[in-house]
Amino acid sequence: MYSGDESDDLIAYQVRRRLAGIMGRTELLLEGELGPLAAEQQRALEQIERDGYELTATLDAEPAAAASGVAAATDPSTTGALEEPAEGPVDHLLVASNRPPFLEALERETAPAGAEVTVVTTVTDALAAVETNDVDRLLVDVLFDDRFGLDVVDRLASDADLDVPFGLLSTVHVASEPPRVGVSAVVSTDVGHEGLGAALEFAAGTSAAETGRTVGLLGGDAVSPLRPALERWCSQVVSVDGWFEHDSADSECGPLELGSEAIDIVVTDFESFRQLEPADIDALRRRDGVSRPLVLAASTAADPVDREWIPLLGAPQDPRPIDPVGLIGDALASHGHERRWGHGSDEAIPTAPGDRR
Amino acid sequence: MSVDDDQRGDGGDTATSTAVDAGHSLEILIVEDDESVADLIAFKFETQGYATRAFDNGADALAHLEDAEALPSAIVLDLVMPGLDGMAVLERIADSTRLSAIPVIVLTGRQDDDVVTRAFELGADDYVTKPFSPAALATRVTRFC
Repeated sequence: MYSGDESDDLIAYQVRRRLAGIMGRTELLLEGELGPLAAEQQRALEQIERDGYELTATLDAEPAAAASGVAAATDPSTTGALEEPAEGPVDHLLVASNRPPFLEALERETAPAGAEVTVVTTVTDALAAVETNDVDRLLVDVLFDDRFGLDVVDRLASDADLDVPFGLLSTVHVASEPPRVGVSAVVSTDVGHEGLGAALEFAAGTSAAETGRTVGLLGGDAVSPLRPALERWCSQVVSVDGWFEHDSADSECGPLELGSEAIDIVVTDFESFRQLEPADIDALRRRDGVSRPLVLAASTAADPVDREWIPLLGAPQDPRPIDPVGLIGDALASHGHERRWGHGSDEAIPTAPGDRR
Repeated sequence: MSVDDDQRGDGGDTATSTAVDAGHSLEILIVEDDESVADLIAFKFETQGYATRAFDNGADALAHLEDAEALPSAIVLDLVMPGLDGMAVLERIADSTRLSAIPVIVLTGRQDDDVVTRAFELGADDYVTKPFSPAALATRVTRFC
């Protein structure tokens, strides 16, 4: 486990490394070393360069200033300590995680947005906080010392009054892959169209307009309620159940072939996922060697989540933090925007893929 | 902009280099484990007429330097690398009568005062922090060439 200072340093170091490539190449482009630019391209690159300088300046800020920002973000009573409170919507964001890298990165990301953030480090505290019904958004980790973070998800799914959009933070990953998020998004099986669309968007890392893609549906009746909504969002929904029936002569394709099939996202449920062989999981999670987004449909309280799926995904063996800035940055892309995922409502049902904005 | 795989140097899988014209001694040695950054630096120097050779770890870079007939004009050295890190490379270069005259420009994301001080104590000729301007880096390196 890293101390706060160590994780700060590590995050800053990793951001600098990535910025070096981004800003260096931006400079080459602006200098015309890679060919002439149109005026619009020039302006766009100049904006990228300005953003890069601003980000660098943020990294260069005194640690003491960053520390005061952290205090302000975690304690609403000290919000005035922020130098310049940002404009825009102020949400009450509940973050449940016991990992310093997540928390440190989160505080960096949320403080400028002016969010009121409550951080809890146990599932017990997270459950108590959501019961107050004063939480607008929840980001919850999976693995805690006391219980599983999915308990909080189950609690939300079991009570219609607790309509809190949530995001799942996890370093759980398939053991044979490099450290990465194993589950791209989690939805409840009764998620609305809007929530499901946002989950797909979040999982695939693309805008809604680009979400018109092929989805592989695994789980039979357990996931069939999602099909109508999926068909609104995706160009094609293909059942891949038969591919995992190893003894069936009717299978169109075996699980290993799935690794190269033109399926962009896989949506499945916990129970189906739990029954897969490790090689099947690998085939699901990878397409031609590249990670394939996987959306898990969580069961509700009436059908409790079977926690045995966690070892199947692979425990986080590698203690290194996995790009928490990018992770949390993605998760908080919803902050102040329309993008949501998780336990969504049925409002604004789109009429066609990409018709949402 | 990438260095051609066919031009890999003596260091096997860990090294890349541009072809050095006969009689052209202006070579910049890049020791950087981030391929994206190494590629960027190599491109910048090559457009200015320098040859480049890149290694992604300190041990291979030192092995090359110890065996090389012609020494590079300058070294751009990352600090945080797997295996032998940049500080250890600086130390070995400083301890070698043959290598100690090569200018070494440290290029790193570390900017703690104690790290900067230590790098200069070990013989670094300049210290550039990431993110960096390729043009400024080239200027700072080539003034030693």
